[in-house]
Amino acid sequence: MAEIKGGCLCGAVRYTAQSENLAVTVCHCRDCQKFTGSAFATLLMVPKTEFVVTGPVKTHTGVGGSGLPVLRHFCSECGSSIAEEPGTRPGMMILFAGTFDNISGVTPAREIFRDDQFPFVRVSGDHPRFAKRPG
Amino acid sequence: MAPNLPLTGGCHCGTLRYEISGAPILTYTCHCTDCQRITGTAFSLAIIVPDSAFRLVKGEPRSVERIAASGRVNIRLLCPDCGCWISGIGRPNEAGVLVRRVRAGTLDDRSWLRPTEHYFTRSKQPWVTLPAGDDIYEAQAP
Repeated sequence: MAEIKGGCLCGAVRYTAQSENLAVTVCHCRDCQKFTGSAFATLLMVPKTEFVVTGPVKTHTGVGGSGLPVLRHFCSECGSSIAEEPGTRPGMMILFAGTFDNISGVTPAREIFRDDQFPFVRVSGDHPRFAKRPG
Repeated sequence: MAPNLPLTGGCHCGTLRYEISGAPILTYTCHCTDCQRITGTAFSLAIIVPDSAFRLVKGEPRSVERIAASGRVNIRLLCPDCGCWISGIGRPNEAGVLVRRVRAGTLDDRSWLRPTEHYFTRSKQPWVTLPAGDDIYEAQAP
């Protein structure tokens, strides 16, 4: 078990979480591009019971590709993307790995929604790649 | 590849919308730790446009100030509802022209985007491979 400590850019939001490993999902979907303002999101799913957060978290509720709600949590002060909760994964919290204090052990376990991928992006590694959601 | 103008875009939830009527000057990625924190991912992706070409057409952004490691004051415009960072504000470039950095992931049409410069690669994630032949800088832009 790895203990993860993390927080937003301005330091107002801090959290801890427990995870088996730091194997992340790289998601190229359009919503992740919009929410991060970048090319893809770097995501780690942990049990919600293992996630403890303090500070001014604000939540935006949208609808995901599945038709179910997706809650996106961010710092109300600096806007940093902290975590999301898709309706397809009840009981889980999905962390935005760029907010970890130490990101040196983060490695991609899979890439999803590559249909939306920017052509210039190359994520190296011998991991499964999916055109849309896995499976 | 040259994009069709005007470029349009906005935040994740649609509260903020913008239009860009002039051609982008440059597309780049930034791998600094501040960009990793705020985006929550491996790097930020931006286009630099003439400030006079940028127009906010919907919504009122929050303006957030932060002093970067370089000592420079960065002002970021965020959506008050979904937190999405859409752009900075106009700032003079080396030629004295006011330019604005816009977060490229927030563009509606991103098919033409191809960054050619990459900053702060000293903190780049090792699994991100940059296109061969691009201009790569360990720290800030020269």
